[in-house]
Amino acid sequence: MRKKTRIILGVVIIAMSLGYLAFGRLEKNIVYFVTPSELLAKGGAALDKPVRLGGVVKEGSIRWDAQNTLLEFDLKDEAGEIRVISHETPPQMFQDEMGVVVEGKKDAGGVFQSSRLMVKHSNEYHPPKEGEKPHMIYKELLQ
Amino acid sequence: MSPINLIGNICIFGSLASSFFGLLPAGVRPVRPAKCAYFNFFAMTVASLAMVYALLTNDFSVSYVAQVGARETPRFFAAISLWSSLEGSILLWGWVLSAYTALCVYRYRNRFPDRMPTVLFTLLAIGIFFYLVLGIPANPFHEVYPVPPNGPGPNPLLQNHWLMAIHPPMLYLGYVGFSVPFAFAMGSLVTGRFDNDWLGITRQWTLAAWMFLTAAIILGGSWSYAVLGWGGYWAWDPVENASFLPWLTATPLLHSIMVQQRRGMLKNWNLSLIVVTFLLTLLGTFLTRSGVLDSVHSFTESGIGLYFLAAIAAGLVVSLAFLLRKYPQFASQGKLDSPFCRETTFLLANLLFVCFCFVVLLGTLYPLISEALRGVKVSVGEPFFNQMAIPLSLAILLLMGIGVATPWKKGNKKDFLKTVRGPFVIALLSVPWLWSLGFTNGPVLAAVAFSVFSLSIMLFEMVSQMWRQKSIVTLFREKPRRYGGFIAHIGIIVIAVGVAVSSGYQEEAQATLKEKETLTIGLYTVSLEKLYALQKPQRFEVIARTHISRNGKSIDSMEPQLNFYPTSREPVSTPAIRSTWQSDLYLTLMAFDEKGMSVTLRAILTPAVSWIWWGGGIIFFGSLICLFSKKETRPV
Repeated sequence: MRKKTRIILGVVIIAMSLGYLAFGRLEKNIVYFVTPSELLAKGGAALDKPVRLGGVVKEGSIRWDAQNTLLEFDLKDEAGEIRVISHETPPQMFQDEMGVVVEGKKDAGGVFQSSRLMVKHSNEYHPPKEGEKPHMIYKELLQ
Repeated sequence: MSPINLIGNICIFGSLASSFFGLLPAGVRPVRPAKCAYFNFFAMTVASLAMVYALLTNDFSVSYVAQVGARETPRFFAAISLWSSLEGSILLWGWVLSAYTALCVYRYRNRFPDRMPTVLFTLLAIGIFFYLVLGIPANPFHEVYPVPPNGPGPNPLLQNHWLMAIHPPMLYLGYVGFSVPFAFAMGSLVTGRFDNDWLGITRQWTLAAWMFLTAAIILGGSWSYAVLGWGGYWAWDPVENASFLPWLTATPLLHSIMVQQRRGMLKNWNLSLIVVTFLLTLLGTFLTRSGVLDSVHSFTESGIGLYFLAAIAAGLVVSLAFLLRKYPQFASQGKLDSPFCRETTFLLANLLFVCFCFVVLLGTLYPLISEALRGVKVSVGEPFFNQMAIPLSLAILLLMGIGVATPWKKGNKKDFLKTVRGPFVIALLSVPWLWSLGFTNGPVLAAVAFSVFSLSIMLFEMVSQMWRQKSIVTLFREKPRRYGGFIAHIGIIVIAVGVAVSSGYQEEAQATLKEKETLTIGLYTVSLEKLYALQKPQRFEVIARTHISRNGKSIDSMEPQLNFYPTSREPVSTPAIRSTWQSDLYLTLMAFDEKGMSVTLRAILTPAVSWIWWGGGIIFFGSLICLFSKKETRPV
């Protein structure tokens, strides 16, 4: 085989292996965005697959155990709600009715085990909208 | 219209008009294009200074100031908020572009009369695009009436740290800098001439832009490390990737240019790489600024996305047309003689870098493609990038050493093995030693071993040269580009070791502490001394003073804090970092309870992370040596 043909063949083989590797790994690492009702609808098919779950914290559902760093709350959307367990300290502003995205998996018991908790905020900063009152009681710290 | 807005708009639209005049053919235009370039620089400087003045004097009749200004913001951050939001950063882009264009025109005003007109045409055309964006979708000088009494201030994350003053300008000096080699490449493509004189100045400008981009990427990582509170410095975030993609094509370009200088080969490859690098800077800005990352369907709302897409399409079509038509004129004048010569190593490294770029591009664009085609929102997890990046980086690290060990043109197996024998043995011996130190992670071991190998090859050569009675200063004076390059490579090695060790061996601990209670991490003990607060004009600070001991000996106090801004629902944390060459102790104040006077602290112990920042500085220093080496009648 001529040298040039060999080189081209080599490059093509390398390119194809790279493409195969890349797309294969890509498929394994894609994380889908779902809402609580979508996740519930998936039922058994959704078990043990990493997803990002976005919703709103249900009023009165937050349980925070500081000693064991265990956070439990319900995440809801218009049509469904899911119990979430997280082993991270929630951000200071974590509260009822807050938009939250958790990354993790739904376990066999229907509870979502979160590996990462992200409070949803937009890229554009803007002053708090009507009715959003910044939590100002920490000001009591000023002696 | 208020005076600042008037001045700003006159400057912007004036530059637009002047660039347009500069593009007209010789018989029609009223003034020489060089004068247009100088005028643009003057106008953009005036516009930028006007904006800084408006920011410093709180002139809220200017739309950009009404968007990012506030009376309470410290004046330092008020001034640098010039680039804190879209419109201001496009203004900065316009200014840097006009400066580079004017500098280029001035430096080569008496040289290359056949190609400079094309270069100037290209730069002015790029200028027209940015002045148009600045004038219409991203105009910072809109009139605001009635004039608001105050503004919201810049994004809290952008007034937390002094790196805000350096990282964006560096990034723009790098990004915009690649427009110049692109213009040079167009000059080559139009005239069919790509000789070594022209290549020399292309190389210089590419190196300068690369130097700034490298610094910007490292500074960006350092800034996110210092501010974001998660103890990491790189998350393969699309915005981070946007800055990394042109770097992944510019780095191999710097090397393949050398092959062209010596052997007259790879001309088409170099022209293509220059074009790709420039287009990637446009793509990067598009990804970061258009809102396309929030949702594929929201990016049309701001309008700026469509402008950038059009520019990328136009650039792609024009460059591709020229490249396809002219490629026979740039055919290779030599050929690869042996697998053991430097040309082969450089070519292999080029291919690896291009593969790396493709992989990062795929991971970054996949969510957009998926949403556009299937309507399904996905994100690509970090493991994808890490799993692909690690083998590619290791291979590149190895090639770095091999490249130094192989000569130009004529290489043979015997000489090659003789040169690498010593370093190979040293690298091999280092493995059990590293294992005994606790480094048992495979990729980390490989990274450090390959680094030792590459470093030894360079040190062997420098030592053997100095053995022949040459002082180190003579080495640098005789071959500044070679040894400047060595320093830059040493910087890369330092970064590689820093990245490998810091990724593999990070420790974390978290605890809720009352006064005097302690948290242990590694050899350190962190105890809470006091929780207190400070009211500043622009924000309210909650601070935890902690006491640090190591091995029982008290060594320091650290104060992580949370900053509450009136315009934001969440506080921004300022972690406390104690950095030594061995490791960083990183404390974040996660939460506090003002009634119980307790805090939740997160402590992260990361070995060797400061090596990354030091490595960046070393690269910058090495590049400066290469950039300003004058004695280059013949490349070494």
